[in-house]
Amino acid sequence: MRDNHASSFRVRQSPTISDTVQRIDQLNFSFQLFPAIASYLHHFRSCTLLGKVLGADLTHFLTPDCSVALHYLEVLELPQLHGVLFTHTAYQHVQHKSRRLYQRLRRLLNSPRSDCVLFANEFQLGAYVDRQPSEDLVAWQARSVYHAAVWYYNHLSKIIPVVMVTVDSAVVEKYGSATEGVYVVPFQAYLESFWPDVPEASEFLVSLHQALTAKEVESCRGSKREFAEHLPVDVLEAGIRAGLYIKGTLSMNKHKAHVEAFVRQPGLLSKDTDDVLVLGIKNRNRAIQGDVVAVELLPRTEWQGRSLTLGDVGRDDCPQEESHGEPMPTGRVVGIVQRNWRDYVAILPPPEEGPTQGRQAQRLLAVPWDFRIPKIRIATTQAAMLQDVRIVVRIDSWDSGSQYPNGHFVRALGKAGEIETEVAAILIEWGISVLPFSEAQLREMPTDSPTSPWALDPKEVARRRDLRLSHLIFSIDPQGCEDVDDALSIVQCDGLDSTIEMGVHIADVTKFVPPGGPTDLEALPPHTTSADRRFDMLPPVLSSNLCSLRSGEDRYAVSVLWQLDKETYEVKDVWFGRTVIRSTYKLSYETAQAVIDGGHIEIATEIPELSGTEDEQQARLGELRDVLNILTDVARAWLCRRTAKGGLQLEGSEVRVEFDGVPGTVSGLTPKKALEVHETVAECMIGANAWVAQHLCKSLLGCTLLRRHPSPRPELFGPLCNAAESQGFHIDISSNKALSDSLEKTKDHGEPLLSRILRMLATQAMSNALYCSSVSVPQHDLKHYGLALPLYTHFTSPIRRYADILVHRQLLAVLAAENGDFEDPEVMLSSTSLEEICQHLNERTRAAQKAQKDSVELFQCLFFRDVNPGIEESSTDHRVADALVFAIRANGVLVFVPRFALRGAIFLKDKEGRVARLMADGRCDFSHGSLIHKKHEIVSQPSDGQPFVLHLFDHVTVSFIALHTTWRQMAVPLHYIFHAIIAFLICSIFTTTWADLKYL
Amino acid sequence: MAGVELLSDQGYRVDGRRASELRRVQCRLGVLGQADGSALLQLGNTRALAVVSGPHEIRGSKSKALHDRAVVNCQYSMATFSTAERKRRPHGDRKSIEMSLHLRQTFETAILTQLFPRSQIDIFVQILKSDGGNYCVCVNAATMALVDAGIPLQDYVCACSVGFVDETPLVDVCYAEEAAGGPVMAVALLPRSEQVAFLSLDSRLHEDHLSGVMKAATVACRDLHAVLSRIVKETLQEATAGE
Amino acid sequence: MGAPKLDSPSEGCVEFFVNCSANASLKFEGRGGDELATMITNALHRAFNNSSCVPRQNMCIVPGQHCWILYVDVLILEYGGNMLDTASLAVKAALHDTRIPKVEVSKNEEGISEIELSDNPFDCTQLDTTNVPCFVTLNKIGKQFVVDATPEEEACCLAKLLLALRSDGTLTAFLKEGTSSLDPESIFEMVQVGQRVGKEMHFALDDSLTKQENLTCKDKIGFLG
Repeated sequence: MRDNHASSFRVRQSPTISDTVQRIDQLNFSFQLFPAIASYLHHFRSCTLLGKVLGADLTHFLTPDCSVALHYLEVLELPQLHGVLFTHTAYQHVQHKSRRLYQRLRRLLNSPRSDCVLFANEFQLGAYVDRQPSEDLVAWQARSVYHAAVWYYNHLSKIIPVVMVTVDSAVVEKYGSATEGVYVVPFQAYLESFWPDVPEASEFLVSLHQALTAKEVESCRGSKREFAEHLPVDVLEAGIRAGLYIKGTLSMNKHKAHVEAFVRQPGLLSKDTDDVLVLGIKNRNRAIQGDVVAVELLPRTEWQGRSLTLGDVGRDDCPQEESHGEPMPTGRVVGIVQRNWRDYVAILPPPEEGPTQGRQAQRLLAVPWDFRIPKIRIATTQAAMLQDVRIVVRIDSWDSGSQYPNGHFVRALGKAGEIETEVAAILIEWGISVLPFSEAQLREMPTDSPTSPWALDPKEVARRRDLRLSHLIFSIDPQGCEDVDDALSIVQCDGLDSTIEMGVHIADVTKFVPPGGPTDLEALPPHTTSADRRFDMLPPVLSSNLCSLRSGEDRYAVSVLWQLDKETYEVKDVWFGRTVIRSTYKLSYETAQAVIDGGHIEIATEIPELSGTEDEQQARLGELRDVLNILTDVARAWLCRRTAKGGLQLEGSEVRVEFDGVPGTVSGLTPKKALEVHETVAECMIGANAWVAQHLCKSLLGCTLLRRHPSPRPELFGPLCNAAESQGFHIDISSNKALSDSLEKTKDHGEPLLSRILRMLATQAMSNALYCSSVSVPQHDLKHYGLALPLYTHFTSPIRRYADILVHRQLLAVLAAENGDFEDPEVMLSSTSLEEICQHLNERTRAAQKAQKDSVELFQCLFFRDVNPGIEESSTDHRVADALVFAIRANGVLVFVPRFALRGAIFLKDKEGRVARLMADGRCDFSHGSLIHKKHEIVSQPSDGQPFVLHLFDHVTVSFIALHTTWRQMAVPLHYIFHAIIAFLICSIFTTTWADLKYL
Repeated sequence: MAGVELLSDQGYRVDGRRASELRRVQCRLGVLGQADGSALLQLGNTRALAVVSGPHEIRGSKSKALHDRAVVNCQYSMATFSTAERKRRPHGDRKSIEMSLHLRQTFETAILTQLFPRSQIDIFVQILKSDGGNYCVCVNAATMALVDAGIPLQDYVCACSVGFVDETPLVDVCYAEEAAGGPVMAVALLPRSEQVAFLSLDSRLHEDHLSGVMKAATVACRDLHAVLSRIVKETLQEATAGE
Repeated sequence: MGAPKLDSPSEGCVEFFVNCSANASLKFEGRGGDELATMITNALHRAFNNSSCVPRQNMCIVPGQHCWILYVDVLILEYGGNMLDTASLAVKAALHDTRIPKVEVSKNEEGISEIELSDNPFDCTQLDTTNVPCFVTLNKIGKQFVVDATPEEEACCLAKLLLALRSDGTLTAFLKEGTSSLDPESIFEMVQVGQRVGKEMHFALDDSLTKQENLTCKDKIGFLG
């Protein structure tokens, strides 16, 4: 309580700035000013600390004034700058001026990495200054910031100088040398003299400055309006409440980014219905992909249907008679509730011919990588240097008078087309930031070095069940896997009721990652494996050492042990708990499969753990084989039982990307081969996850993190049912069991690929599995549709997934509670915070998946670009392959290429409206004619040739070329590069030769 | 709510307080000479004038009289200029009537009414300036006025409102925090016995948080009690020193 | 801020509201104070119903559309007699303290005027209170009359004359109240006395207000001292 030593009491006029004043605040806010303040400085640890402590090596504090904080926040965000002290005055200024920048600033201040802190000077006695009657706002702000800087300097006993930076030369003049130890310098000069080794900062400043001046010039010009004005926020909110406008997230049609966009209302999970169609740029009114907008519905007579034409990203501007679906609600954007601008990867167009404007900043339209984003106008002097370079661009504003948004250049990623650049581009586009592990994280880690090897703690061992001697434990992972987070064991218990004890042992990550610690906080975003690199969630000392269940080493684990009936493999009993294990074998999938398949002594060389004489090896190999066989049997039985309940076996088209030694090139693309042992291990993990989920839900200790898979929406099964129907199969989609059964039947068809394609189509129809909190969703919605399990969670990959760490904590808390030990109630998160984490995890998982998909596409593209340099025809050409038609569209077909597990579109109509014509040698070209689109077939009827028909599941031969890095030719719009990664060129039908038809 | 951040990441509230911090309390007893007891109490920017008269004969119809205890009559009114938007009526609207009722209930528990059978005690409270926590300021002001009037009380009645934002209880909410629409709980406590004389909660609050909020309120009320009793002691010392 | 009255589109408005709270006296409880409150409200209205009292032309923002409306709310906290005079003095003091923010009016393309308030809280004008009237009540008790009556004196007064006077002594309104009659002679006499008292009163108030103004923020005395 402050009242006892209340210091002073001031009343300040509330800073009401509004355009139209409805009322004048009679009420004054009272601010309490405190005599004591938290110090962020390392030297002052004795003071109350507010979370962050600035590094001890700090030479000065940097205090930006209001306009620097507002306009050049991004420079201050640079991690190279240390000790940035934001004043509350500047903080509030940013809050008033721009909501978006304010969020950014908050994130910056909250981020445990940044060296930025906030000084609440307006709440601080002595640091606060009253506004004088004749003083205008800007002058007062400058004085307030300066005063705060002086106060802070004195507060820190004048140990560390404070530098106030500004862009206002008058401020420099006025305060420049008023106090010793507090310097006021222009921002530019500051960066040049204090951070000469950070040239980015200055460049960035220049870039921002150019954007700013360009904007001013523009606003002076007062150009005519391109778009209708947005409605003010309060009108929007009122309108949304009143139901006049619909609020939702804008998403562009991927194939018709310039014409079609949809507004999806939040909360509705539906994919198609209830969306509002927004047609055309004018109606979209400057909204960008991902923005939360308010739309007004157009009169019913102006409603239109969505386009059904096969999207061709290369020619969406061509006029053609399009087929449209049923008219649906159509509207126009009246205002933007929230911008969701992020960093965009873009590329600059080639320089225009003509006189350059000397050293003047050029105004250029950067073309974003994501073709759903409009071109961004940036001002830069570095245009010549940035040719063919992928750059990061941020949007600043989009005025109604401008056809394109204004932005500024942030940094360059590297030459387009190079693997490093492209991977970086993908990561930025999906908002995945890969940062090195921070010092704080590494400090938290245990050490394991040759000089001080890590060892088990005997006390900890005593608290755990020791399985080191009693159990034969082994792990099965991909070749060369470093982070082994799961291991298995089988023990045959002889006795009266002979049972088998099967165990799944998961690395005990939570032992090393205390909740709320730096590692825990940093681990929250999920971590991905791109085809050629892995981004670790945990520092290497954990992920590939102390938490990796390597063979021959003692490790902490959390185990699930089942007692199984020897005959039926029914689970009789289950035990969960913390253990100490020592894995005996670290097997690869291939080796494990070879052992099961009865390979002999030659396998022994593959397993380094098998040592000793040949007989010993043989004996131990035999033992291992027995164990693996039991494991396989158990998994088979479980899988069988689950399938009987409706578990689906779905088909994803995954490829493995092979790299040979040459950096930056892809040497091969092979579809992933599935061995039975893959399934076996997967089944064991599914079992462990499901049992843990059940156990967590049984205990009533609060809410549990679960993974649910909602039932798919029936209307999405259209393509699947249609495809199956063409081959005389009926797909029953009433339940997962029915679906599974009807898919099973298609296996008997003569075309072996049919079943695979149908399963692929079924996979497409599936909804995404989601993390959720057990209390936020009704019980019957918690089920996992695909696995046919009532409850499911993620437990088995704590090294790679954050959700598993949470589940581990929850399980351990539940187990502790069962023993009457409510050790740490903090672990059980509140329902709202768990829900928040789930949302975040879902979002990030989705981004990671997309990034992964994009990177695979990237590698495919690189593969087709690099492997066949320009050879046009050859029978072994990788660019020719057999493909199957699996869907019919209005102007083409979709095909699947089993060889590369690729899907793609073939157009039977080019942009001049000509249709494909089959020539005598089996090749195709285009000529005038018409195209008839039916349910199961498409007929191309050229006016001067034979009509030809493509049915569903027809084999065609396709060739593909990577849309080569065509940024030198303006013929192909730049932003389709790597998106239209592989254009399927036609194709001869039922023949092995291929046509070379280029309309691209 | 758009724009308004009730609890900043650094743990400051809109007016610069910490979550568990009360506003400054100022109070003067006996501001009005004519009344039996009066007190002006200011909590931050909320200011209330309480006037107590009685115990006296029942006014109006005698049928209201209770044979075993005194009738407590409360009237709550807000000055038309007390809020930012000018109020049309100072009292008699539904909110004021409810508030009057709440005050009566609160003080019927605290005043030793059985000492004054067949009589009446009037408590009139006027909000002069409102900046959140009106009820609580009224209760505190009325307590002080009762003390000034010398009416026997079980204990001080200390009231404090507690809001709940971002999983944190905010003690003694101001208008901006009240207006944001989160849950606000008003607690009137008899601090020595820690008995609750009055409790109300607006808006939704999860049961799990209830104990935390109650705890914060209890602590705040006890702090208030310390301040109020100190003020009473000081006032008495001044008065006796003058004699 | 609001719309001006139809009959005077280019002037601001002044509205009065008087409330006798139950605090002031037990007899004001419930509706008891309404009669007195209405009397004072009407008297104030009468005295101020004259554009020269408060510079109302200055309170116009957009003629016919927007003007400032001054709500003068009087709350009687304690009843000690001579309510009207006290109230009118308080009104003058409050008007003296009133600051009207400066606004800028600009027309947008559609011709609708937009009003913008300055972001500087000190950017405002003070009201001119030189012509604001104050009441002097003369109570006739027997053959004599007294000013500034106590409640006891009021209780035995039969008739009273309410005079609204400016600081220069100009009468802006007067009203006779009470049950007994007054003869015209005494009325003139009363007016003369009233004018003298009124001038003194205005002078004393102005003096006190100027003193207040010169005090710095810290020394200002509030209710709580």
